[in-house]
Amino acid sequence: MIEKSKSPHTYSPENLGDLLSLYKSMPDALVYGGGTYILKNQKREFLSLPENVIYLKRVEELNRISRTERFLEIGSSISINRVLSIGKHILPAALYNCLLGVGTPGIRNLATLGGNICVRDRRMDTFPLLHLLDARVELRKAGGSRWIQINRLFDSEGKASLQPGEILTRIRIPFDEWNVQVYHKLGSRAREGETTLSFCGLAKTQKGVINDIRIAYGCLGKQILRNREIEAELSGLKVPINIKDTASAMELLKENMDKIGIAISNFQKKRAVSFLRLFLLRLAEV
Amino acid sequence: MNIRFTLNGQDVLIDVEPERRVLNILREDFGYFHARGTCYTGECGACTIFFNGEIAPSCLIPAFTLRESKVITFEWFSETEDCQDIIKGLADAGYESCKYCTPARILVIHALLENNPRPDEDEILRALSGMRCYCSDYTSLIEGVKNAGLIRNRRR
Repeated sequence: MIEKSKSPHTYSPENLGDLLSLYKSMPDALVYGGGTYILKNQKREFLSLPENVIYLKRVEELNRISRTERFLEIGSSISINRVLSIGKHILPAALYNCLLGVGTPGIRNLATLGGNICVRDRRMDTFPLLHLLDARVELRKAGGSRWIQINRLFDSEGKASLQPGEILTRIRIPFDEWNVQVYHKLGSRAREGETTLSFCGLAKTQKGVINDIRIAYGCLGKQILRNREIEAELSGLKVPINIKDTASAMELLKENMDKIGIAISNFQKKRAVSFLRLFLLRLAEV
Repeated sequence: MNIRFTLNGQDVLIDVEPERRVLNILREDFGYFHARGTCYTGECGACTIFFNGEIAPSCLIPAFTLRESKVITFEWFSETEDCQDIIKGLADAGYESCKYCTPARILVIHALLENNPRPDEDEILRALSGMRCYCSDYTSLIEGVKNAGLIRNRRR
């Protein structure tokens, strides 16, 4: 007979001050936003939760969205569907498509943007894209706050740079004129592993020349794959990109995927190259 | 843990373990059996309820998040005119209802029609993408949702 473990102590602070002081006093507590990732692999009636759980949904400051001419700022406890409700004309097109691919409509009502970024054991859907968009995140703890680039949230081995008692409170996404934005995802939340892959591509073209181009791959465990060598090679080229340059970029990607220390299946490699080719073809349509 | 929340329009106070799933609370403590548990990962959609006005899989909602929330189950919703519109719309299109997933599907369709009274085929399929029961043909389901939207618009 399976014995039920002791029930956790749960806390629902209603403002940021209470949340930070509570988290300071118990830095080992589980910070619970939507909980969709935490509960994903639990099948029993009684959920397995740590001794202390801090529920974020009631913290008013984490549920705000604000917008200026230069950026959009989203509270970390905002649900994915609420971010989508900002609208496709305001959100970057690739981000809108990316968010539509997160879970199911019901899950998106529970899952939060902060949670999608903060999961420690894998980089979720939005992470590579927000990285390309130069998003910044605000980290706060009792007595201090700091803004960092989202790519600095985890080190190269995927370890979080959050200090004890520190919490992600806001995500700032700059508005930038990316005239080509592509997001593709293979596989689903239910099938993570060797058959999943996401592709994010952003480009700025002017008078038929690529001014800036960024490419990243996600769904690869704790890391994302961004290759600046390919980006540098493609920048400055005229669109449509000729066959030789396209083949060269694809070759470079293949070489790099073999060199880097991320475990990528052959299926993922093939699809990664296909996504790059489709993206480069798409540039010609601008 | 004592939790006060609104269930189907009535204030209730329950004493439950905070780590219990709302799905189990609804079924075992309140006898609301239309929310069904299968996957316990939120993927199949059969346990869908309205949680604070939005559809959500009740298997992914722990009891401690219920405090001061509003929960609506199919049992309550089935008494409304909105539900009857959907049932009629689906029946007119020849949709054969499945005892397993139809209650959850109806809640999802209601949520869709509230935001978008005239959804197109893509929007319907996207809204229903959270349902993993393969009981019905999608042609009649899509037609049924469109019918339901028209019936509801006429009535309102």
